[in-house]
Amino acid sequence: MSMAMMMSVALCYAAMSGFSLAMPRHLMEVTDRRLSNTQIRLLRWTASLILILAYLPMWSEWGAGTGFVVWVSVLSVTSIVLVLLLSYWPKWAVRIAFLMMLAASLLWLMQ
Amino acid sequence: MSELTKPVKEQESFRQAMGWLHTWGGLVASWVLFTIFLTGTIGVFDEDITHWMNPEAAVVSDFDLASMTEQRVDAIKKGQSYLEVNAPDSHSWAIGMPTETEPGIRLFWRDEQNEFQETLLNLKTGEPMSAAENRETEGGHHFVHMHYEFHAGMAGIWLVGFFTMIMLVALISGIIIHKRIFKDFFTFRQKKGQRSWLDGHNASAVLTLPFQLMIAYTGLVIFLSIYMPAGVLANYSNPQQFFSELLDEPMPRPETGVHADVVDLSVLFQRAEVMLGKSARFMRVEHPGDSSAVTKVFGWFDEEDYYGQLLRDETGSVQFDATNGDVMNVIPPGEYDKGTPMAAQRVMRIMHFANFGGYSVRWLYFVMGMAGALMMATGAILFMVKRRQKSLNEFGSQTARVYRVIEVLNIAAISGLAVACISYFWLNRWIPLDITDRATWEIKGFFYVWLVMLFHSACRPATKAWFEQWSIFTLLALLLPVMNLLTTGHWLASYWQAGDWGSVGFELTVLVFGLMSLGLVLFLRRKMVSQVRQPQLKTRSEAVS
Repeated sequence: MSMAMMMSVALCYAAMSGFSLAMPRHLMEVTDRRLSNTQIRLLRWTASLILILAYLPMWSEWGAGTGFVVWVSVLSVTSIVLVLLLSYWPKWAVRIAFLMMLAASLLWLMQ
Repeated sequence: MSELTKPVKEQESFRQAMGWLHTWGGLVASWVLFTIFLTGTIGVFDEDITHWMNPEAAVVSDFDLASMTEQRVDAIKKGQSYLEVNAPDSHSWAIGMPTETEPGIRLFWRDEQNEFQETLLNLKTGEPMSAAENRETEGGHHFVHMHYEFHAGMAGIWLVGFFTMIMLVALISGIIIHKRIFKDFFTFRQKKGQRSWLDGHNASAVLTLPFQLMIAYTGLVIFLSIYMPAGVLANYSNPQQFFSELLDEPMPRPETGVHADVVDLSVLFQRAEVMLGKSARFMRVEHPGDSSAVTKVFGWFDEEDYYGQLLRDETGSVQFDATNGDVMNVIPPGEYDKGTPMAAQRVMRIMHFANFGGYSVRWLYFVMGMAGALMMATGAILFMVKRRQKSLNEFGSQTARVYRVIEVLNIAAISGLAVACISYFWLNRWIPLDITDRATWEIKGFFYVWLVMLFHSACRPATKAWFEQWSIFTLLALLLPVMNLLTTGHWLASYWQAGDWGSVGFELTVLVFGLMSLGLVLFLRRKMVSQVRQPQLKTRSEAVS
């Protein structure tokens, strides 16, 4: 697995968990906190930004077209993992999301 | 009726119509589509599977034939002399350089009866490789053939195309009837019976929807000229002419019946390499021995050279008159230039075949393909789960009988196929090495096991049949590495030491599937126990059997 692939996997997972936590149903399983509408909107915007960021390493490694195909694939596969985690170990789903953000930052610094 | 409610009602009846289409279209297609998806997904790793299934094959990857001109020319010479002696009156010949999974000179020919034949020659001796050097097996290609033609040639291709169309219909109608596509995007509620089946069906489909749409559509486009022949037939009396214009190649020459010897192919092969400016890998001769004989030499092709390219460059080819060596056509290696429609088809082919990005892309496709298979399986099971709670009486007095047939087909198509697939690997190790048509026997064995599973599911109550078939799968999968060790002496650690990552990956994947199946078996056992405790809640299908 290349550096770009790892980066994209980490960011896609983080972005999708952001989207899921913006939904009260999934947030409930993780914490008792409630998010205000502004916070939800902020979370969604951040997740969207991370999602776009996840495309960039794919783009630079594979080119715009192939990169897009692989990016969508990574998005699907990480979402499957996320849904399984949310269902069986919801707390870990979130912990891993933070770990993924950390890993992505480290990978970015290493470059 | 007020103006406001009318569109809502129309929308509802439209949704209901789509729901009907999705339920019944999906059910009828699900058995075949599950087969297409499971085998196609396994087929993503066809080369690694072939490698595992041929433990006798010497590893040729440690010498790089692409850079050894003398050996390549020698291989062509040996191939030609074998074919001249053993297949003189064939309709066509082909000689290929060894690959990592087929470590000999690869010969293919269509004999006098137009039957496809193939053999592997030892690189050094030029004699067919013995069972001790090369295990006769179809390997992973068996799954690829199941995937697009069920080993049934043109009829199979049409069948797959037909059901792929239904898949597209089921996908679109499924999107229309899924009212909470975004609200339930990340939802999987486990241990909730029917709810869980529906969630599993929705999640596996929605999360991989781009892949499912892409793979079904590109699958159809690959066989575009077969599925949609009308345009060509309406405008060309000979479809060959269309393709020759499209691809900018000379028309195939009809057989004359006049004898003419084929010239020394190795000379043409070398000339082609010089003209292409690169090594060549494959050579085909049409109508050898006839004065119309034509040969075509194809440039060397390594997957890695095209890493990341969706529109792959031409590998290059040269066509000669095989009776006198005149050059008939040259396609130089380099940018693909057969026009936008052909380029579009080429891109879709490459996207479908999952070989544009090495193992990372293969694994992504594998997971999404399995999600597709899961979508078919959960859909088919959901159909019965719904009706087990409460019969919908779609078939009047025959309803219970129809449900039973559907249940039996569900079991045979899903767990039965899984057992057949894993049995195929066992058969590969157990069928004696020296029997004739060994490769065919492996495939026959696959179908026999599947048939036995069909009988089994027809004879046993549904839950027991599921339980027993997944138990068989679990045992066969978890014991596969042990059996491999006992029959060939290879196992995970020895593969690891040899750096044979393909085989390590194969056995680990089989073990993971064995463990998942074990989970399923335990789930089914709990279910059976609870059914025994509450006999009044016996399922309808069991009441019938």
